[in-house]
Amino acid sequence: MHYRGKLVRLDRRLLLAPIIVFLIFAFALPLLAIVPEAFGGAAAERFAGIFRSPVYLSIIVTTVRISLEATAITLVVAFPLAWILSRASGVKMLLLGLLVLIPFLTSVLVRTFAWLAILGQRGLVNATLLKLGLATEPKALLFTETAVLLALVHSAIPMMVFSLVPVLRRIDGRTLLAAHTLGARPLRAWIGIVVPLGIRGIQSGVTIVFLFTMASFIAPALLGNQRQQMLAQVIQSELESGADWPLAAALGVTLAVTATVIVFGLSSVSRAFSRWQNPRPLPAASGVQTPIVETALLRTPVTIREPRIDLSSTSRVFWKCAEPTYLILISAYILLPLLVLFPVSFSSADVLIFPPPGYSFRWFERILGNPEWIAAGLTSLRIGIATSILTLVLATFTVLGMGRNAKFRGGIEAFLQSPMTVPSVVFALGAYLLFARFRLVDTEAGIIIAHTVLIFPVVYLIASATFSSIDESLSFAAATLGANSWRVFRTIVFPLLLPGLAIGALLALLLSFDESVSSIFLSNLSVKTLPRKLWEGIKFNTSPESAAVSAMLLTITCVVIAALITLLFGRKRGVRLVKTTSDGT
Amino acid sequence: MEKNRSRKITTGALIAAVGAMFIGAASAADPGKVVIASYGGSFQDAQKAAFFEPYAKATGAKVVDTTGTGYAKVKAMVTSGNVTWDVISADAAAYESETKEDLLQPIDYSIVKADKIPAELRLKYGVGYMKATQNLSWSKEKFPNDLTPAQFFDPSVKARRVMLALPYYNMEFALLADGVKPSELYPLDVERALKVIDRVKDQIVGFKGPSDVQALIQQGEVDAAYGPGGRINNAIKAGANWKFSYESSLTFVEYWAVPKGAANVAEAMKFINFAIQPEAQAELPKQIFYGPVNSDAVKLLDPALAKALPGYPENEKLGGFLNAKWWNENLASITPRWNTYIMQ
Repeated sequence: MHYRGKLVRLDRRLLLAPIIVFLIFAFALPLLAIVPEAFGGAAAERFAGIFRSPVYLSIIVTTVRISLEATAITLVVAFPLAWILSRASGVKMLLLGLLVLIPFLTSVLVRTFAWLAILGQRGLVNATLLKLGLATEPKALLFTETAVLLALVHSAIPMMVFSLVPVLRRIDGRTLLAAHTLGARPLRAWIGIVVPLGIRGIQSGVTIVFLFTMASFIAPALLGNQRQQMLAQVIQSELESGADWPLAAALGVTLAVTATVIVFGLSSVSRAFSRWQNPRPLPAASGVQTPIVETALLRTPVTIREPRIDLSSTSRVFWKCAEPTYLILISAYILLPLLVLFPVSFSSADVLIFPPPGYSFRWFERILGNPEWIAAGLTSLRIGIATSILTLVLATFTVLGMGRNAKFRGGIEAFLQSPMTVPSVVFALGAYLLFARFRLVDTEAGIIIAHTVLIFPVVYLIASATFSSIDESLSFAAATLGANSWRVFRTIVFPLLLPGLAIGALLALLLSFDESVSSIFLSNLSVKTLPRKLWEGIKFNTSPESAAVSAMLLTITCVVIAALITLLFGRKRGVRLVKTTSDGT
Repeated sequence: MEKNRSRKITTGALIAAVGAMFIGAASAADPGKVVIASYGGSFQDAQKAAFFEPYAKATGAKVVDTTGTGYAKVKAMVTSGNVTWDVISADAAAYESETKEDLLQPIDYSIVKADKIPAELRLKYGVGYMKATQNLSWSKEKFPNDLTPAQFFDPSVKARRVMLALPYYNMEFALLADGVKPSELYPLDVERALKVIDRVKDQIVGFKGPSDVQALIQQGEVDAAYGPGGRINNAIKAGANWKFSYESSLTFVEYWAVPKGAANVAEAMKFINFAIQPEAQAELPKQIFYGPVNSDAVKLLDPALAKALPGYPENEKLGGFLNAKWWNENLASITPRWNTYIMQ
């Protein structure tokens, strides 16, 4: 019996082998490939060139500054949304969830492109300003740092909300009530209670958003100007023009090191905050303080009652209006770039103008009649399906391999999640350098491998959450009835895991279909994915054609989300059905 | 049981469908194929209509056109040995650099019949196939009384301007606008050129690629531009209320060339031969505003159109002619300086 148990555990650990081997070859090696490229030859000269040249120094400073600004703005803007979402239930929760989920699952390229139609001289904002008489001539909004920040924050909000919500949800609402009864104003209660208790969510959100903005090149390339170029953008154009691989690699190393140093700094700041959050035993000073607090508490309500009521009633009105106003503003900000695509894509004009002078189907006809767009769509679909299957198989193996109480769980999970913690542009750069040696650049296999690396962590998270929700005693019951481990997996674990895997598969398909960064790096001539073709389309001609493709991509995203929701609800109903029958017997 | 079977059938069908999708993806290099790299946008659309599609139709060969041609990319391809292009369109400066670095295949003049092409454009590694200009252009709404080159660099003339991202063309334009005679343009006075551009630098929206210039004009993002005449003309054709002039323009030649190690050299030569014949040459100006170089092609053109095109002697006289030899010797030293300049 003892012997057999050991064998089973050995089997189980072997299931982890595929993903570990895969990540070593497809993720760790590409990252390592950057190092010899960056430090080969005249490395000292190269790095000295970067750090001595005013151009690169200013690019590094700009990149860090814009990333920090975008991260801070995102935190402030997204925090209330995350809080409201964490307290919401029913329809409100569903709607707010969709508000965050839809932009999250829409291609970054599509979301960034939409800002061209909003901020242009003949875009939405300027058209509105002119119509309302608030401006006499169009304002210069495009090709400014503000435009880049708007787009970056817009892309980052969903990531921030998704990092915050799980943590905020765990905060007991009664603590706020307690603060209120103790006389704290809402703002004070928020800063004093919600922020410190949510510090872990803030920490992970800030890290994810900062890494994302540090690695972004699409927004600065499309919306910025030469004076505020970002590092990732320079790396991308250096590779695209094929000019200087060692320099691109050296810049990649610079980006990774800078990002790591700053993330480390940010997390030590937040660690200081969390120490303040739960002060362990208070020193002797507390003994002196308590009596003072008590007397104050006893007296204040009597003396200043009248003016307080007035104040609190106005502030209550303010806070009552604050939530709906905030929700309207943030929804407008989040949805505007998505909604604007539809009228623009039906435009009869040759260029992006808002409002369109007339409406027509010409751009859709042109896309559907263009074999290049169709081929790009099919290529993306093929890559998406392959990525989806590959991630799914790997995730199933890994979840089973991890089991419920694997040794070194923390370490292994950190390794599995590591693709999420590396700026995507650095990975794409490494993949490009390594894959070029194996002739994998510009092949479907190369992109499938890169997508699997990037998407596996998401699918694994979903699969492992589903697995941990499966009642272990069911497997034990099956085992005592004589089922071997394969049969237990086939009849019990796999069917219960299936809904989670289906959601993971659909998500993987969608994420791969929309993925822009590695697609732009790794696809070129013989393999053109849809995002790559769209990238070229936007770069070479900002016509409503790109808007029409974007609108189609967005529609696909919405359809897939609808499918996901029915899948989730269908699953719940299924569970209920099982329960009622078991109750009946 | 029944349900199980139907599920098995659907699973099988799904697998078959996915498999079928992958089979379609396989491809290999075949002799009747030629990959041509150009610049994208409306220029490439014009080349497609004038050269690529007629060639494919006439010979049955498969033409794959792509973007990204440029000295750095060609160099990276040839040195890495991973040459995916068969024909490139190269501007004079890029052509000179590619020749100097030995990145090109000699033109096979037994296949390429180029006797109607002027001798100075019939080179060992490339054949000139069109003359193009960089022109000053402006919005008629903003400047109903036209815009002069001197005004382009006058900071008191408020306008959103755009220039090209390359060091060549821009510096020549700045010097011509500042009063340098076309014949005395080279060697370029780089300091002076940068100082001239400096006057209006804060009014320059960006230093952009050629297709961006057209997009910005059409989009109404800029009021004045210095960029490729063909793209500017296309913007006007697409409805932009703009005008351009040959004043302080710069004429340059565009070449066909074949990178060393190209997979389909024979097909590449056949294509180049096709694209320099009078019929194809006469078709290009109908698609985009660039001039042919084949002397027989000019005869096929409508005289009014021929007079308006780049390369027509009267037009060429109003501006300068790009000295590719000078740039070949100085591009490497000027490029870092220029890149620093436009980023600050």
